Amino acid sequence: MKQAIYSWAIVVIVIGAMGCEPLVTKFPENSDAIKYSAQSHESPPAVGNSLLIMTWNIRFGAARIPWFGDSCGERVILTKAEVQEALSAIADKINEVQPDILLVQEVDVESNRTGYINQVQWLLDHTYFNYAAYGSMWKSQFVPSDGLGRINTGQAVFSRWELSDTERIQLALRGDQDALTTYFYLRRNILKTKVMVPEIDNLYVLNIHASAFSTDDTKQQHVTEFKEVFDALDSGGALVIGGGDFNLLPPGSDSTNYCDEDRCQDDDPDFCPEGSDYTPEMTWMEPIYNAYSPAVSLSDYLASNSRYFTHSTSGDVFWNRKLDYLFTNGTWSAGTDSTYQETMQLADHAPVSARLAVQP
Amino acid sequence: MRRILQRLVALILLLLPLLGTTTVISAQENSPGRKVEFDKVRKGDFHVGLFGPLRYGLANNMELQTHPIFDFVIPNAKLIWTHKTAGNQSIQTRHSLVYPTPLLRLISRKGTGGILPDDPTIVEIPSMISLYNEIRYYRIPFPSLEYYFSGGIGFAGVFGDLDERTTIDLPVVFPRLGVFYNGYSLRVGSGMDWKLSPQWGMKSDAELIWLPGYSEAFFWEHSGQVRWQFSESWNLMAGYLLTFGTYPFGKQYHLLPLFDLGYRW
Repeated sequence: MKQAIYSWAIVVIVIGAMGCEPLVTKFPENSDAIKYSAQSHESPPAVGNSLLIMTWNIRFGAARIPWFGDSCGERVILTKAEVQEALSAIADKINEVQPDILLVQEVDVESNRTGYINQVQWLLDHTYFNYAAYGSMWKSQFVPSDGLGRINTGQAVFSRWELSDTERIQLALRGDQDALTTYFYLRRNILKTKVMVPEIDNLYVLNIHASAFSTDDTKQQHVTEFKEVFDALDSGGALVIGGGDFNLLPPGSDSTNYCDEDRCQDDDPDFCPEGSDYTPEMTWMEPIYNAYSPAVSLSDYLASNSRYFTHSTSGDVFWNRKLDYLFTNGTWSAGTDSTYQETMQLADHAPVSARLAVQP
Repeated sequence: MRRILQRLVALILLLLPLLGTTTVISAQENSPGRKVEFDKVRKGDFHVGLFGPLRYGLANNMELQTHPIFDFVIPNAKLIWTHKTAGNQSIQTRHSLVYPTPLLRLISRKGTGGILPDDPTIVEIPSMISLYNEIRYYRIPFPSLEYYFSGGIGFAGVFGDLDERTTIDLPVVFPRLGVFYNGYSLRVGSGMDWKLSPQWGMKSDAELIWLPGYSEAFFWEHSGQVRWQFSESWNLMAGYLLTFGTYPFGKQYHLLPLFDLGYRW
C-alpha cells in the first residue's frame, strides 16, 4: 500500500510542479521580463547620430472597436480576424515610421479577448524588429467577470538590437479597491531593459503604463516609483529613455476635467467616470518634467495643447488629451518629435516619437 | 518515432491508476467470497454527495444518477447498467444525457459572474444536447480489488449557431463542452477501486478524451481518491484531479483538489 501511495504522490508532485499555475499571477517586486526573438532577423543599420524612439499604447489590437472596458462599448471577445486586421494596420505604421526602439503598452500575449494571438511575437514577425522584452500587468488563468476568461496583457519593448538585463518592476497596487477586486485586477509595472546597441554603452529603456482609473494617489506613487528607477540608472551613468502611457496630463494643461467627454450615453448626467477628472493630479508629472528632458517640451505643449494630444476614449471623438510621453537624461535632437495624430482609427492612443541624440 | 513515443506516453498515462495494483495483489490474503462493494448502490438505495450526484438504485444492477440542484439549469441524467456478471468479471454500460443550454445562457452576462461574454456579435447559446455512451469491463482479481477498462463515444446535437468564442477554457469544463463544437468525442479509460478495510478505500481513474479533428483535440485526466465510510450512512472522500490538455491558448496541466461528503439511505 505504501508503495502505491508513494508512486501516486511522486507522480502528482512532479507533474504539479511542472505545470500548475495559480489562478491569478501575483508578481514579486522584481522579476525577469520575458524575452522574445523574431523568427527571422534583419541586420540593424549602422547607428548614425541619433536613434528614433517611439511609444505607443496599441490597445491590445482592438483598434477602435467599442470594447466594454474603456469606451462605452459592448464588445468583449474580438474575433481573430478583427485583431489581425488591427495588428496589420499597427505594423504598417511601425514599418512606415521605422523607429529603432519601440515602447508598447497594452499588448496581449495570451488573452481570450483577442483570440489568444501572441501580439508580441506577431509584431516581431511582421516588422523589422529582431528582439522584444515583455512584462505582464495582468495575468490570470480565468477572470470570472464579463466573460473575459483568460488574460495576459502588459508592456513590451521592441528593438533592432539584442536586449539584456530585462526586468519587470512591480508598481503599487490600486488602493481604492476592495480585496477581491484587487486580487483579480491589474498589477502595473515598469519594464526595464538594456539595449545592446554596439556603439552605445549602457543604454536603458523604461516602459511604464501607470494606473488608469484610480481615484486615490496610486498614479502619483507610480510616477514616484518610475522616477526612482530612472534616477538610479541616471546616477549609475546610464543613458536612459523612459516613457509610456502615464495616464496623467502635462502640468498646465488647458482642460483637466473630461467627465463630459468620457461619460457614456446611459450614464447619469452628473456621473463622472473613474479617472476622467485629472484636476487633483495636475502636478504629479512635474517631478519628471523637472528632472529629465521630455520629447515634447512643456513650452511647446502649452503653446498648443491639441497638437500633441494622444488619446480619446471614443473613435468618434478626435484626440482630446495627452497621456503618452518620452523622457531622457540625454538629449533629444531638436525639432524631431512627432505625435502621429493620423492614427485615430488604429488604437485609442496616438504614437509619439523623437530622435535621441547619440555619439557613437 | 515521435508518434510512437506519444502513444507510449498516452498508454502509460492511461494505465496510471493501476500503478499500485502489483503491490495490492502481493498484499492480498486469499479470502474468496469477499468482493469490492464500497461504492455500489443497491436496489432502492439513495446516495447523495455535497458535490456528487444523487444516485438511485433502480435495481441491483442498474443505477440512475443526476445532479438535482443543477437540474434546474443544466438538466442531466446518467444510467449505469451492469449487464452481465460471470465469476469475477462483469460488463457495464453507462449512458448520459446533458442539456447545458440554460446554464450557459445564465452565465453569459455582464459584470461579476460573467463566465461567458454578453457580446452583441455573439449569438445566444443555441439549444444543444449531448449523449454519451460508454462500455466498461470490470474484473475483481482479488476480493478487495476491482479494476476496469472503458471506452466510450459522445455525440452532440446543436440546434443553431454556436460561436467558437463561447468556449470556457478551463480544465474539466473545456473537454466536456468540446463535444458541442466538434460534434462527437471519444474516450478510453481505466481505473481501480481498492477496499483497504470495511471503512477505508482508495480509488483511481484515468481517462483520455479525444475530439478528433478539433483544433484542441487531446485531454488526459487522472484522479486519486481516498474514501472513509465513517458510519453506516456517511462517507467522506478527499483526493486530487490531475489534468493535461490542449486548450485554445496552448497546453497546460492542472492539479485540482477533490472533496465530497456523501450520505446514503
